[in-house]
Amino acid sequence: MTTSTIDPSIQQQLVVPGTILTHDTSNFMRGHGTYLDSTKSHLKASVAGVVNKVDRLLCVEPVENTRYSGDVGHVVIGRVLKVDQTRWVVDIQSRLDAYLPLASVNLPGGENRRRMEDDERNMRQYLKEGDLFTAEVQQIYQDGTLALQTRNLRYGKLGEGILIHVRSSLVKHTKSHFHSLPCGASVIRGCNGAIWICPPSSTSSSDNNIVDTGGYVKNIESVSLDVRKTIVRLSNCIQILNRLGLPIYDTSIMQIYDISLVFEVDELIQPKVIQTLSKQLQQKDITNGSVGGIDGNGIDPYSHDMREE
Amino acid sequence: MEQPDECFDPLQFAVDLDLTKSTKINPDEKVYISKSLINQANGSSYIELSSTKVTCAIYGPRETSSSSDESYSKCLLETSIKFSPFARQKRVDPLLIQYDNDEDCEEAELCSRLEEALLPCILLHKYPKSQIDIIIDVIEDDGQHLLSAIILSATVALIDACIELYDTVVAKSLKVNNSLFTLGYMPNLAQVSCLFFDGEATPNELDLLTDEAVKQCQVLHKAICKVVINDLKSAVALNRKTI
Repeated sequence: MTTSTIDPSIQQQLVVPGTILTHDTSNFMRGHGTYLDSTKSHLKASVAGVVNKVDRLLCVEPVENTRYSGDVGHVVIGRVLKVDQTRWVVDIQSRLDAYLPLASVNLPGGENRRRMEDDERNMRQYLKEGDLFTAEVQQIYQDGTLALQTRNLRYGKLGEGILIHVRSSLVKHTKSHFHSLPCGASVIRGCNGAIWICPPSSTSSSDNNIVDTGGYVKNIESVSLDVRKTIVRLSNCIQILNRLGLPIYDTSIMQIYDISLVFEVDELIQPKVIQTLSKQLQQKDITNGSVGGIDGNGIDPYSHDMREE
Repeated sequence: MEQPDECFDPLQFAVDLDLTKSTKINPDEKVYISKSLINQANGSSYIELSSTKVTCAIYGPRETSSSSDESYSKCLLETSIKFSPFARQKRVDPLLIQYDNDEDCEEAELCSRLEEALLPCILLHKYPKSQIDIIIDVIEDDGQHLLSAIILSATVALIDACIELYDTVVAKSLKVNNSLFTLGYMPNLAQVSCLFFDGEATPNELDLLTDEAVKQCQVLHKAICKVVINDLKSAVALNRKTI
C-alpha cells in the first residue's frame, strides 16, 4: 500500500489529495482542505495545495482557483437571475446563488414606508432578470448561501460601465470599495471578484467618494469618447493586475494606470507591453512589500513565446 | 500522430516501489498529463495514454437546477461524454441521437461507469445544493485505454478545480485475450473504487488481473502526483504569497 506521508515540518509543503498531514489528530484543528479519515487516526489533505500551519490549525490552501465564499459586510456586485415571490436570486460568481430579500431593499417613498402587497408584484420594476447591482452581505445561511441587502443609498442598480472579473482573492478589503479615481472614472471593487468601471457621477461632490445614487435610477446618458477611453484603459490595466497576481485597490490601480499612459489603449493587451509594465511595477514595488506574480526577470509567466528573449 | 515531447514512461517515478518481476508494464505505453487548459472551466485536463487522447472540463460546484431531496444534503454529479467524429477507425456521427434503451449507447454507459468510479472519492457532503458538471471529449480512442483515460482525466480535472477529494482515483485498463479489464483504485486509501470486466475469465485469472492492475495503478499514481506538484510549484513561484 502506498501512503504519501510528510514529515512533521509540514508548513509550506505541497500536497495532493489523500496525503497524510499528521497522525496527531488530537492536537491539531482541522482547517479548510483537510479531512479526518474514517479510522479517525489521520488528518489528510482533500485538495492539492500548500499546507499552512498556524499554531494548532492545519489547513491546505489551493494556490489559485478559490471560489468566493463570502463574509458578512462584504460589498459584492451581482446579476439578477430570477425574481421569486419575495426575493431576487442573484448570481455572484460563487458556488451558490445569493438571495436579495424584498425586505432588504429601499422601497420608493422613503425607508419607513409600510410594505404592501403591490410591492411584491412590482418587484420587476426595481430589479429584473439580467440587472446588475451592488449590495452588501447581510448574513450567511447554514449551507453557505449569502443574503444581501441594499439598505444604503450607495448600493443599488448599476447603469453604464464595464464589468470585469478577476480573482476574488486579489481584491483587497479596504474601508471603502467605491472609488472616484482622479483620472476621470469611477471604480467599484466587488469582493466577489467583479469590478465595475463607470463614468464619474454627473453630480460629483467635493469629497473623494462616489455620490450615493443607489436606488432605482439607471443613469443612461451619452458618454464622451475621452471618458470611454479612460474606462477601457482602466479595464485593461486591472486585467493586467489580475494576470500578474497583484492586489487590486485604488492605489495599485492608479499606479498601473499612470505608467500605462505611455502606450495606446489597445496596446495594453499585447504580451510585450505587459512584460514592460510588470518590470516597471516591480521597480516601484507597489504592493507594500508583498510582491506577487512576477518572477525575477519581470517576465509574464503566461507568454511562453517570450521566454527565449 | 506523434506524442508531445514531455510525455514520459510512468515507471521512472516508481523508484521507491517494490516492483517484482511479475509486473508487465509495457514500456511503450507512454503517458502525458496536462491540466488547466480550458480557461472558462473551473478545472480541466488533457490525458494521453499510449494513443488514447481525452480531454475533460469541469464546471462547478454551482447551483443545482434539480430540486430533489438528495440535492439538499450533498452534491450532484452530472457527467457527459462525447466522441469526436474522428476518434475511431469508423467515423462516429456527432449528430446521431442515442436513446437510453438503445443497445449501442456507449456514451451513456461510459458516463455511468465514470460516475461509479468518481462518486466514492469526492466529499459530496461539503457541497450541498450544488452540482458538478463533468464534460469529457474523446479525441482518439485506441480501444483499450478509453475508460481508464476518462477516469484519469476526470480525476486530474477535479484536482485542478480544487474540489475536495478523499483521494485521487487512478485507473488502469488491461487487455487479455479479447477481454477488457479496467480497475479504478485509490492508492492512499488502498481501496478499489470500481472494477469493470468485459469478457471471459476464471476467478483465478481475475485475481491475477486485479493484483496486476493495482500495481500499475500505484505506478501511475506517482506520475499524477508528480505532475500536480510540479504545477503547484510553478503556481506558488508565480504568487509568492506571504501566507
